[in-house]
Amino acid sequence: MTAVPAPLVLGPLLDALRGVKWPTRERVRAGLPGSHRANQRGTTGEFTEFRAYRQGDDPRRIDWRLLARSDRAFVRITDERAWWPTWLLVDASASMAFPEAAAARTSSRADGVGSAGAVTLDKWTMARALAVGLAAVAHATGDPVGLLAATRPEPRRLPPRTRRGTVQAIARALDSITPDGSAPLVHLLARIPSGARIVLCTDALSETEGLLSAMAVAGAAGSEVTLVHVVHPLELTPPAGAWQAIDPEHPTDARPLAAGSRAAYRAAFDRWRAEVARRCITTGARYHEVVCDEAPARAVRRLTAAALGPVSS
Amino acid sequence: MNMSIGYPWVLWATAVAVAGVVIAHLLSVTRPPALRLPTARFVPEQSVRAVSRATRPSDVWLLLVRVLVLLLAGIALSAVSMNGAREPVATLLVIDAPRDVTDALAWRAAVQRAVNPSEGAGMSVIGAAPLASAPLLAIVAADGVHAMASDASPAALAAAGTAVMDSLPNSARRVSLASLLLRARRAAAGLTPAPDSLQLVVVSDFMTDEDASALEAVRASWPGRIAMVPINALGAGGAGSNAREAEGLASAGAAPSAEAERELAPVDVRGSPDDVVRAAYAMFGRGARGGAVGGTTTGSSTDTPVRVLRSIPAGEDSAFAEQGGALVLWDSAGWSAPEGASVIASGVALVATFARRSLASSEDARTIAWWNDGTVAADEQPLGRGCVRRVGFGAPAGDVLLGDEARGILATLAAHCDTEAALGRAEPLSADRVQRLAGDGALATARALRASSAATDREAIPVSPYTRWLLLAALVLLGVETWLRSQRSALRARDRVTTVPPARTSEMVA
Repeated sequence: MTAVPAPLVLGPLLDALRGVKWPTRERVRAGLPGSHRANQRGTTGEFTEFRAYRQGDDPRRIDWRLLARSDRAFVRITDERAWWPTWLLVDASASMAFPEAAAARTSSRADGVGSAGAVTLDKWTMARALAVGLAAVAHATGDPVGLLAATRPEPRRLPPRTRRGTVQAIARALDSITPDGSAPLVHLLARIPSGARIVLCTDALSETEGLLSAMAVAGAAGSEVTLVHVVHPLELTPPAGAWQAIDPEHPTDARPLAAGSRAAYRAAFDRWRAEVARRCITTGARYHEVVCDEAPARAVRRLTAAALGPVSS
Repeated sequence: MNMSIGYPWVLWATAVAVAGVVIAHLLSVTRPPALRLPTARFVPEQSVRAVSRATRPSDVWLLLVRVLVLLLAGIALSAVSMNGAREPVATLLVIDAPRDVTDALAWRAAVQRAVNPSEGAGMSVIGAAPLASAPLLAIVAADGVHAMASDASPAALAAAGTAVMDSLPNSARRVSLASLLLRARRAAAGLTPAPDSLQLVVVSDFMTDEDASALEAVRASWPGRIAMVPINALGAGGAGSNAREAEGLASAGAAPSAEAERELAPVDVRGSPDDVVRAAYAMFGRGARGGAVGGTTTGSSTDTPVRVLRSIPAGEDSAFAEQGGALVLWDSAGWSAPEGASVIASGVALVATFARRSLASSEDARTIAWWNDGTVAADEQPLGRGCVRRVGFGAPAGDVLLGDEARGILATLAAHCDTEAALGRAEPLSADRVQRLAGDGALATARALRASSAATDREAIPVSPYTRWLLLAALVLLGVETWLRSQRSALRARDRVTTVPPARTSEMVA
């Protein structure tokens, strides 16, 4: 049984993300005017290049001053700008409600306040903060932002909007959710229309294989899929001592975690995370691992900055 | 205030158990505390139990209650008792019955001397001398007559001895030394409080008719030395009599048993033709003893002085006994389920599965056969000029009665009624024989007595008066221990479900 999460305080987070841009990695399909480069050329947008006049071109697009200087007819070519709907898919399974009180106290004794010196959050709070932060960045660039939270019995869905108050609505929706049970992320991913930017905030512990397959399908359908893997420091370094590790989504599966098995656990967890990252990159998706001792605003900046860089960070 | 421990090994076992509980408390193999870990699937699969060690008790109260439960149960089961009246050494005096009425006065004087150390300075003792300082606790006499002293004072003991002598009927018949020792052992087991050691003093004339082949086995069951006091040496003759007694004992040599020399009569067995008793007497009649035992007759012969009746007696049978015959009532039916036991008669012990029947006590009856526990197996009551013998055991099945071991019992049952004539021919036992019976070494300890008699006599098991209360206290503490454990489990379960509220976003952004 988990406690009801405390509501997010949006002010400081949104202030920290003001002015952050989140461009797409590739040209988007032409659509309503927006901030992303579209795959359609035109004459009304930002200048890109000149092209020699060909029969059939609109004479009004001929650059007359260049014709006067070079005595040759060129037309001006510009890129179209289109919007790009962003879907935030948040995992609200029981595994996201970690850690609990006893483990958190042990972690404080063992690890201090975290490697970055900031407050170590639980996984669900970190996932909410990332979702709200990314929503704010996308909404600031004029993109419609929607939310799909994997909850039981029915998922929480907010369709993509560009109007004011969308970010606050997303934050309120996430605040009302208590992580529990096993979330059907795969089915939610299949319900998102193609040609969108999809960000999954999850620990990827539920239906990992199916999730990776669905991500590949969505990428092939024209969506830009990003997996934000939320990992808690206690998962990387469990508290010292002998414990009976119980999976919250499978309470009957109890395994002893002691000094002898700690190294094997860490090796297996590292191998699994590396495999998930490799599979994501292979399918064309982006993979970002966010440890809960990192400040959420900093993590959002890292995610958005990496959009123009390499595939993964 | 003395403290005695019935079973010291139980206390040792309790100490070991307490040590084990403490060690188990510090070193226990239990399930470690639960940790809800979403990535538990990456932990290698193995047993969820792990050994946890601690240098100090994790729950002092629980450990204390458990140790107390063990200590109380151990003390209760070890039969610890505090008793100020308990003596380290006590004396059990066994007095044989006088041979005839004329000896009674001298016999009584001898008993007075034996129970009063100040008067017994001149008495002769074969074997180690009894400890004069040890109080006498009981007096046992032959033939079912006994008296217990009210206290350990010489006056009380002398009164008890006199009461025993007065109780002996003039026609009291003598019994074997084996029977006396069996009675002594039973009396020793019933002493309350049980002394640490017990010295047995046997006052008897030690005649050959009291010797028997079973005496050796019975003597071996008494785990200590015995002081043998020849009764003739305590008579009016004083030291001179002692010398004559010693001479008489020495000259007796290896005298044959009187039972072996007893003249036996022909037997009229009234029973079915296939009756085993009838067959037994018939077989012995054809034996080497020339028909002395087995002169069986059939039908209604009235010449035979002994009649074994295997059915319900009739008026004719009573008349037979009143006219001088020996009537043996030995039913062939109506017995309970047989059980393993031994019957001792004529100095021979016959071990078989016997059906038992209790014989009602009678003042004028004398015992002619005993069970191995000392109770009466067969007795004889005078009737007119003859006698009636009651048999309290069924004829064992099979060929047990046809063996040589049964010859003595069959002979006892088929003896003449006037056996005093045979008893009169008895001679004193040799000094060596009495010395061997006396033995040497230490006194019998209470523990050895319990060990030798616990298998056959439940009354010998020591029980402390505090046992039930200590066990009750242990039971109550056991309930407390269960309650404490449940409380601890509830606390642990409550800790397990406690969660910590997530941090606020303002904190995480700072």
